[in-house]
Amino acid sequence: MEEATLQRDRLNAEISIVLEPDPCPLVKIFANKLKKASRDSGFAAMLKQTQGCFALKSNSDPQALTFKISGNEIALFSGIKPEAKIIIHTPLDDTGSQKTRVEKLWRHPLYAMRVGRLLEFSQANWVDSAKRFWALNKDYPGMPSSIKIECSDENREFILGAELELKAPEMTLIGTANELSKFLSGDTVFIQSTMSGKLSGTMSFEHAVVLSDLSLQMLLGERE
Amino acid sequence: MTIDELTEWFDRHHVDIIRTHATSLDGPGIGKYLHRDKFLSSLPRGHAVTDMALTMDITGTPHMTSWHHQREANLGDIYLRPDIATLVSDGTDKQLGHCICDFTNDKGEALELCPRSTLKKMVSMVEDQGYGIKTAFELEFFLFKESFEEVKRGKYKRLSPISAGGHPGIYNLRNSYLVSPYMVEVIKRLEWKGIAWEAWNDEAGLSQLELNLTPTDPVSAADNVVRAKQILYEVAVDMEMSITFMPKPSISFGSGMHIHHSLHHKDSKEPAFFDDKDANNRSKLMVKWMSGILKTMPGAVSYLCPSANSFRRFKQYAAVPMTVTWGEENKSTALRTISQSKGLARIEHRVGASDLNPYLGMSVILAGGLAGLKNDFELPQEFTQLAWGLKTSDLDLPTSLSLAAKNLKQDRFLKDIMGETTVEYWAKTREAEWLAFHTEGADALSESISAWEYERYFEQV
Repeated sequence: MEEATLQRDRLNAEISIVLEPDPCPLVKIFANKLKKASRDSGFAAMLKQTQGCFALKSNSDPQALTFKISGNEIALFSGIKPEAKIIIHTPLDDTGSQKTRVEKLWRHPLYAMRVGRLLEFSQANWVDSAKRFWALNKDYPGMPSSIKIECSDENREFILGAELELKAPEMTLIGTANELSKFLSGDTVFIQSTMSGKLSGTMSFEHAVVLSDLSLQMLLGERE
Repeated sequence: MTIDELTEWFDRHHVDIIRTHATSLDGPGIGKYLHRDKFLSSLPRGHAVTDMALTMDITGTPHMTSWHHQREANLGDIYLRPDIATLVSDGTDKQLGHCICDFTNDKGEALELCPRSTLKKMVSMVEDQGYGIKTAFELEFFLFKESFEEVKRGKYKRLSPISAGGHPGIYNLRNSYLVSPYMVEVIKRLEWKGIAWEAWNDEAGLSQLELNLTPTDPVSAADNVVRAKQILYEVAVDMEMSITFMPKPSISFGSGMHIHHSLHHKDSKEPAFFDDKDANNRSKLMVKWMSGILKTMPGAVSYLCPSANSFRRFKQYAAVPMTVTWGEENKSTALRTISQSKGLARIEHRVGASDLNPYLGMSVILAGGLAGLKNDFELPQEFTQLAWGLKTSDLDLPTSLSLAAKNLKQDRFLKDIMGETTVEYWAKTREAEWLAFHTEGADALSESISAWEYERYFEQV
């Protein structure tokens, strides 16, 4: 891979994320996760401990990606590079799952532990995520003018949008704190969450499509 | 035709049932079988179909990441307005008639996303410049001995070419002979429906065929493609065989859909691409027109190669253009000009895959030509060698759904002519196709054709 063809995203003076040309969705998704994680002050220190190369492989389909960490640079590639010290076989939507298996663990147990920690992406609380989501997207064409969010496990409501005294919210959204946070932070696509029953609510077809579009853009790091 | 004239037509042709036919954005035929009374009573607006009939992907799943202001916010109905000029009787099924339709809203207004209406709009814009257009499509496809059911049961593996025992090689008459019974039936049905054809032949891949339709105006030419594809499919089913327009059903040869077109002066009907005062017989109009097609080609690829499988065709030296190039009688360039004879002067666009939607494929080519007329683009130098194995990346065509969509979204000329919301909508649907390809089971890094691609494209494109 020639340096000139890479896409480089220098996040701050310390860390940069480098992608191959025309990156696949998995590479874009993890680049975005790493980018968000790097806002945490402890991330650079964690990165220092995870130098080297490892790969992540879906245990349900052929998707895979390789991380190469060198200094403060993380390069992401689709597929598994031969130099990967460990290969983590995992459900891609839940890398901490019980179904995760690590190949070559016996050779690099400490490294595997550090990689595991690096990939434990923290989840913001859903209300903060909702506020950020609204600030980012409220003016997007086709967005509902207001959304009432109901958190089913915290028994709490939060309303996004204006003029709520005058009329009912255009849309309601119901889910657990975890699922709401995932959607509102751009870690999952809206339609997938609704079709799988993780989120529900009342909305028009237009709003369902627009929220799916936005959440996909956020997931791929194309909207921030 | 008036209702009385239509009734008389139905009586004369013994037609009691009419099959309406349009295409969704992704290309599959969409329509209903209507009793003639219902067909007549629904005129002029036509019958209702759900909004999703137009806006669903190749598997019938609604586009869930693209919104357009003309979509129905709560899954309401849109309409299929029959174009009565396209009404024909089936010939094989004596009771059946066929009619091509446009998607409209409840007021009977054409929907911007309707592929056929998009093409009509492009044709009208060219006519406003004083020109008429002639278009001809070449259809390439593979035919197999197994029925679709057997193909699926065998998981698309070890398909038997009709010309088994023969050798791959274009125009091979021994291979052609083995395919004749199938093509004889196809030709019979084409002619019943008034679809003029020029030739068919054995193509380079084993059991690969090509059918050339006669040049006509772009909308009729695209109508003929969608009808011909349906006929080719139906004859295969009736003869317990299978056919695919999947661009790359194996790692061997792929199928394209080359599109020829020429402009003529609307009034005099004289060819507008030909000028015998020019050293190469190319008119200034042709040069400007071609400069626009080339300028917009990286974005146009999104329409010309609509599926993940389309992009598997892009291999060096594999008879598929890889670059934004043109050349006289050059089949390795994206555009091949044929300029030496007044009667035959035309451009052959060679990038399209066999699964393109012919209305949209032709539309984006005309939009490119129109961009050339409206702007002063420089025509790149003619390419006089094989345009493969080039070191430069400046001329490279996009080779993935994502890159093509990215180029399309950045193309202000195509947006200006085809409509920004229409183009943006299409680009998002291609990004969704890219996402599905990578995340639903295909192995993007493998050279082999994935089970996901067979299941998604083999029968549907």
